[in-house]
Amino acid sequence: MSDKGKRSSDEPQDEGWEPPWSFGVEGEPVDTPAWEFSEAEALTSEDGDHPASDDSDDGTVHEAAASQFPPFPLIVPIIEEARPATEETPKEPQTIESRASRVRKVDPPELDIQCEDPCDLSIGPAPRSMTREERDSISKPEESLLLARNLTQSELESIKKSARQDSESLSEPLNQAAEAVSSPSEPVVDDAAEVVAPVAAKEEKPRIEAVRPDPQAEPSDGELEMMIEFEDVTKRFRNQTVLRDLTFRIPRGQTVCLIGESGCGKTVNLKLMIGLIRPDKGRVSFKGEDLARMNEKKITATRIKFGFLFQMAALFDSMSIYDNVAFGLREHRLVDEKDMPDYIRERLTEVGLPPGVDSKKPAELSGGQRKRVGLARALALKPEVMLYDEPTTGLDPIMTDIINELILQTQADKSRSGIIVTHEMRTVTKCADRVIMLYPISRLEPDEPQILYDGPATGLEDHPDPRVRQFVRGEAGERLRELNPDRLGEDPATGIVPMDPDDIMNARPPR
Amino acid sequence: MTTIETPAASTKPLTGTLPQTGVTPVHEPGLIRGGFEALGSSVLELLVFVGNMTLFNLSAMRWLAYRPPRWRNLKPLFYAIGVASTWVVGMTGCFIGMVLAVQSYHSFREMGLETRMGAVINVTLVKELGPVLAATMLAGRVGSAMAAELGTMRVTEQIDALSALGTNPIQVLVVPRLVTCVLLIPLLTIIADCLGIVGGYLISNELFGIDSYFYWYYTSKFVALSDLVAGLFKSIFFGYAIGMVACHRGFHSRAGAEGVGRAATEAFVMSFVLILFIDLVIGTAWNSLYRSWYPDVSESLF
Repeated sequence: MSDKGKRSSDEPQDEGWEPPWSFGVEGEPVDTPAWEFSEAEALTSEDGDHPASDDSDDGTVHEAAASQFPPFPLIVPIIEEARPATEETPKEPQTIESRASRVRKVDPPELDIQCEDPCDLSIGPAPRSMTREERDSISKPEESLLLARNLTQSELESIKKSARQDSESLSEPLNQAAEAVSSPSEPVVDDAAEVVAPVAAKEEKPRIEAVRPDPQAEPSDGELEMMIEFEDVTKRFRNQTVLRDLTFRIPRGQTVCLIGESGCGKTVNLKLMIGLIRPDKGRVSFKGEDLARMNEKKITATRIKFGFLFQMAALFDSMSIYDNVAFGLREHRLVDEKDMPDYIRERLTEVGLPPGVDSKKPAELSGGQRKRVGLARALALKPEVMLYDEPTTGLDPIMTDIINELILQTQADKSRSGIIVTHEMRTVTKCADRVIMLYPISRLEPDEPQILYDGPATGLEDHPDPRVRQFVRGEAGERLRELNPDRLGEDPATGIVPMDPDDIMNARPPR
Repeated sequence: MTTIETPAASTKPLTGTLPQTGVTPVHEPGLIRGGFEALGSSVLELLVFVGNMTLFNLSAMRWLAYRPPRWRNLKPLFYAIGVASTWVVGMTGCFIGMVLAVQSYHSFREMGLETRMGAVINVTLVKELGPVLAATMLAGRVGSAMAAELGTMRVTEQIDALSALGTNPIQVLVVPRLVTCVLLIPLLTIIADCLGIVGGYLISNELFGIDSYFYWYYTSKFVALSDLVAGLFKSIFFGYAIGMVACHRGFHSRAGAEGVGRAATEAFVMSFVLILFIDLVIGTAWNSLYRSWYPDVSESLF
């Protein structure tokens, strides 16, 4: 492990003055310097323990904290190489069906990108390398899709060949499934289903339970650590209610997409999660602790555990890119200044930015580059929860796919939860383990729940609620009539002509 | 869909919400009731503003005590507020000294007291005009810029980003600006005083031919160190007011270009009014205190 982030106790800490009291929670000794607490808070182990929460005067706290702060695993270049896939970090919980549906729904534009991987997806137009998990997940629907795509024998052979290379993890039944697919004369579907079923059963993890379509059937706390919990949360701005009695829970490691019309409170949700705003009613908690009950120091320390990618990246425009990424590290003194250049360069490389970009100002970058710098800045603090506020809004399709891929790579860390606010359905289908769809309060009935949908992305298109289907398909439907009230005309059922909105506003009550 | 019938179709009272917008029609209140409502609303807004400003001040003071700003954060502000303002403040002081000389010469000449102009010009400069005009120039140049900068940071979510990175925006943004304003405005006031004295002397001596010996003699006789201290003492409060008002307005800027522009304007106007108010209060208090400490001071200019 690299010693980046280590802080020897005999080095000068900083040119700034340090307060002699703790920056931490109640119960901590008051002689703990501020940065120790911050460091310990920021550097948590995977199981959520705080490795440096105990006191030490001999620098062991620093060492322990620093040892928990390894450099990020280098994320491979975005397009050219396949996404890393290991046994230790399986893809997020999905059922076989959900994976198949996800693949089916991915419909990006044709990209002119060379991909040397023989397993490069033949089942969709997006030329993306297939991970082992995806190969594992070849199942009945996918096989049907393969056939529907008129794959050649050589393509299928290449899939088989690649599958054999992973023999230590890929079981014989999958090879048989590939064999079955390659022989159209045989009863492909039935055989494949039989042989893939054991694989699917073997792969199922407890977290799959968290992605069940039924929102009522949530996993118990004993199975998964709940990172974020909303309990009957209501938020108003002046007289306008944005969120009403919102209740949901997000476990560790889950990637949730929040979708819904503009103005339905998605971004407000994110800001509630990180404590930037407080609910008017209800409870928002992080790891079981109510954010509203935390004092200023505690909530400041808690926020280090979040990474926030803002809609417009929110880079500090008076600083260079280097200083932007280094900002949080310097404020919390997580990395020595002499190690900072290498550390920053690694973070920028992870998000696919060239080395020379660090001296530029944010205004000199494109929108996609800014988003990537924002992601690098957020990831530099090793957050346990990543919040993405419309990460692909305003980007071209190529950059959208790159950002989606970065999100996938970021969320490959199983200890990290992710909440993505987006309107982009490709992001939803590609990145989400679970989708929560909100609806604007002004369009709901008084007793109607604001969450229209809570489940996997696969259930969106076939959901019985037409509002969900319309949103997913991008159909305005009756809402087009709002463009011009004059179009309302006479109601054929009642013969009543709806009143003009201006007349209603100017009307006086009868005396 | 719920529809609302036209008055022609039905005589039922119009109630409920507009189906398309969800807006409930509001009926205008009567004149007297409306007036009271407006008055009450204004009072409430004022109370909210005062309370908000007080909490903002307290929070800044608390962070100043807990974690004083680092030199890395102060350095660019020292340049922007101090170095970049030097020539503006210096030129202002110089011209004020010149204008004072031009305006007072003829009156003093009619009384035959033109040799004592130095005392009047320089007392006025170091005690009142130097600090006030330097602070006014800074409120316009620095206060507005700070409010606009912070307002833009608010609108573009940079302030939220600071919070998200585990820092306190007041500690990172407000405290350094406040410290810089408080530390540098007295220095800028000294520059304005000095250049004002030079400007007044040049006009009096070179243009109106007043003997330099008498000019400086009366200046040294009537301009005391306490006058200079009084001016510098006031300028500390001016600096605090400028920094606090600018940061508060910037932090509470509304969205959009209009919101940021309004924040900048409000920062200048409020700072200017506050500067004059502080000048009045501190000037009165200082004179009372000075007279109570030194009751024998009875030297008259004439």
